[in-house]
Amino acid sequence: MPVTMPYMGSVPIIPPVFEGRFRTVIHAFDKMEWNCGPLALSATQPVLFENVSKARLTIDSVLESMQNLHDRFERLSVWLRKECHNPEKRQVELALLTMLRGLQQLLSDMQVQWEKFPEAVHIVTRNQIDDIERLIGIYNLSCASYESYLAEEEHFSLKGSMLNNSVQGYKLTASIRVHVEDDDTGKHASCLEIPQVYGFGETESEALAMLEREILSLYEDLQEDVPLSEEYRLLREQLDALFNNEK
Amino acid sequence: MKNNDYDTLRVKSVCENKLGIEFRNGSESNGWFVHEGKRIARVTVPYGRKPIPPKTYKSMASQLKLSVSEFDSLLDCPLKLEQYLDALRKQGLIDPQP
Repeated sequence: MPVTMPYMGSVPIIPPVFEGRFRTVIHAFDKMEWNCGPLALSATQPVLFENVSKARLTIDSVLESMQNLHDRFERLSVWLRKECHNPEKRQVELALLTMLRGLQQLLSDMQVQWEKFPEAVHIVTRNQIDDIERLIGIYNLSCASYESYLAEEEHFSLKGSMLNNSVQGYKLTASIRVHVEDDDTGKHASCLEIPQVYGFGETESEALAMLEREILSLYEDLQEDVPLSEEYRLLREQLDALFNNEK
Repeated sequence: MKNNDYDTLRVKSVCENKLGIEFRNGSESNGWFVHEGKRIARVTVPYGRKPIPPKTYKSMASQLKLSVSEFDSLLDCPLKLEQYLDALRKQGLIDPQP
């Protein structure tokens, strides 16, 4: 016979996150639907439980996973703090932190109820457990996307990238990382923060000059009053900030 | 990767004819892929290079939100506008079909 109890917890709202190159991360966050999805629990919503032993096992594994996630996140946080000038990273950090706190809150609320009621072990429905597992899967996916970003950045920093503080004579509010590499008979230049452009030239200076022209020309294109995809709308905000064009 | 098979003129011509991209000629040739009035992808095609260097070829594919093999198909002919839109939909870059 299922036990019915009210869920006493609260689930925080995930903030919007920077998009652009973080499309995968954002897509994952969007899927969470904290506000209107199955985890939008309220005190008025009764919680049913059917399989006690399965729930105990699952909650244990969730707690264990949470610890792993927490450790991974700690490492990410340490890295992020080193380069806190980059607003992208700050926003991703904020989103990951909020997500982690959300999961912790959920579990902590459950624990309070376990202690409060003798039958509190019946507090979680199978569906909710599935939701928690799903969230952890999403979190792992987000971490994987983010780690690929970190790996890419490591590639940039380790293999001779340079910091640029200006573009075509415009002083930037933050440095951008530029990477030049051989490309057949010439040189190819790319920028970690603005992967939508590239430069090519017979020599390194030609490739860098083209990259700078491309960044500026993209920035100018984005100032035009034309509807943009979400990626480019956010890139425009990023470039506005870089070029100190507060609107 | 079929970067050796095509020059930049071919890339430009395919972008114009298949994807409806209009290029603006400046220091480089830039054009936007526009879908339902919205700018989705911006491609830069350097002037007159043959063959196209591999990283530059990859960068052009990436600007169009395509993998290198999809970009090969675009230039080879099999990939038409509708398949290009499908590729963008799969990445969540444009809205799904109603």
